[in-house]
Amino acid sequence: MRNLLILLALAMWAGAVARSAGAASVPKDLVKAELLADVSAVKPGEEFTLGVLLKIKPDWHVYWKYPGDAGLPTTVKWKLPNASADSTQPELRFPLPVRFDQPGDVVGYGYNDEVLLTARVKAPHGSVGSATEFTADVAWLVCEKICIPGKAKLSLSIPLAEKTTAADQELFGKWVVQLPKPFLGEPGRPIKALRLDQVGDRQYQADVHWPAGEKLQDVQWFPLPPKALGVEDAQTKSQGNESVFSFTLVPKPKDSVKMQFLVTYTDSNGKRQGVEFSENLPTPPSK
Amino acid sequence: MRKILMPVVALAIVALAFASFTIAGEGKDKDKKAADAQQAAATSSAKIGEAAPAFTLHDITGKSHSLADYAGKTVVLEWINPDCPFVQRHYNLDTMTNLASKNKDVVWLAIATGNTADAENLKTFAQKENIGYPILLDPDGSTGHAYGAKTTPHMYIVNKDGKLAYMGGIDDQANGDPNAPLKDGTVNYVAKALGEIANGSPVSQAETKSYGCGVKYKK
Repeated sequence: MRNLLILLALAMWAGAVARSAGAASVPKDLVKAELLADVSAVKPGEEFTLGVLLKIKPDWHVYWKYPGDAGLPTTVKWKLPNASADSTQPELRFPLPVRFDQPGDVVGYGYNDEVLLTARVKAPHGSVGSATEFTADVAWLVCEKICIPGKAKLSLSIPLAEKTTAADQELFGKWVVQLPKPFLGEPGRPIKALRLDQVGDRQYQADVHWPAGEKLQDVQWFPLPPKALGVEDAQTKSQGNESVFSFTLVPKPKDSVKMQFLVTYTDSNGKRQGVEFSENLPTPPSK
Repeated sequence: MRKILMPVVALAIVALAFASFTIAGEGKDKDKKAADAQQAAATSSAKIGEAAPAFTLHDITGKSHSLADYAGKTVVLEWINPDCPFVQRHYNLDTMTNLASKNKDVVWLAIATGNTADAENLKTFAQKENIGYPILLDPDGSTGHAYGAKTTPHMYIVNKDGKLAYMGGIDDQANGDPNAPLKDGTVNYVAKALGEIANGSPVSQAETKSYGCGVKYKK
């Protein structure tokens, strides 16, 4: 009881300090970043998962790999043992994002509260017992009414061992299931195919269908245009067993370009799922 | 919180009731007009090669500016927000002020929309950054909506004929770090377009993706 009272007093004091700091000062600790692994020891040459955990202050958000109308993508640059500076980076896996609709039709895609960005990496072929160092340079833009850029250089040392020991299974498990699934057309995924049409000079329409028996709720679209192109006037219309996403590309693409779409939905078990598609944009009709 | 909300909710209900009464009273034409207006607000009317949307706005010193006042001149519109790190970076780099002073025959107008249309805050910023051009206030966001301004900065060029010649980003390097230097090889789209306009050649990249903070439209 006594401990509880002290805690309560402390909390009230902290609140008072926070208030006296005033509105004009830049809030601190908007994002806390941490580098984690799903192993505490790893066998040389074996694959495992690294994760950057971002804990975001309530009401603030960071961005997905395509930020939307404004903002900046969250980026992670890895430094892996035995990797040369020009070797390719492991793919950064973004879990299913959410859409922010801000006043004046300013659309954003990203994360509130917490997100784990992961990458599959390989332990180096070193001697058992030695530690191996992994580094992540993380950069983000965190926004609420204002935006503040942030960055962190995170590192993690993992010992090489005869046998791999799993760690943080619950946290990694929670985020792995929130990764989008690539569209392979395999059975068991309700959404079967994506169709893309050009409906105007630079206006496009993408649509997906699912079997009439499937109860998919809250279908949302997250476009990922090629670099230097933007998606505007994004609108989603879902009806029956179909969802149509119409959008405008800015600027008008000159050549045929490949575009990705993430379609998320809530399945009949109430679980949010996502399927990722990659399609070439139709070439403009000749005039 | 609840105490504050109550009168607001009550007021909103009264306002809503009143609004639906007046629309109902004026028939279907009004309904259509309201729908059209909503459509216009949602999708901006700004198009390359077409007449740039007209506006009349007051600047931070109280002086009124209309786009029509500058007919016959090339006009650059820059959406600004002193609290946005993308804008701060370009003022630390003097990107806008240098471009404006290099192009003396071009009219440069900064516009602060919505919640950022705070004359005092903008005056402080203008003084600190040595901004010589007018900063216009667009508190209700109507000019921002007409142009489809989404970010700060968001740049537009209106040519001598009053037609929109460029819309998009200031350059091709989205960077939200106010202290980041200019990257080698950065293409400044506005500088490029102004050069082409001055030479009488067509603007080669008339539209690009803008980047920055979202424009802070009011709810």
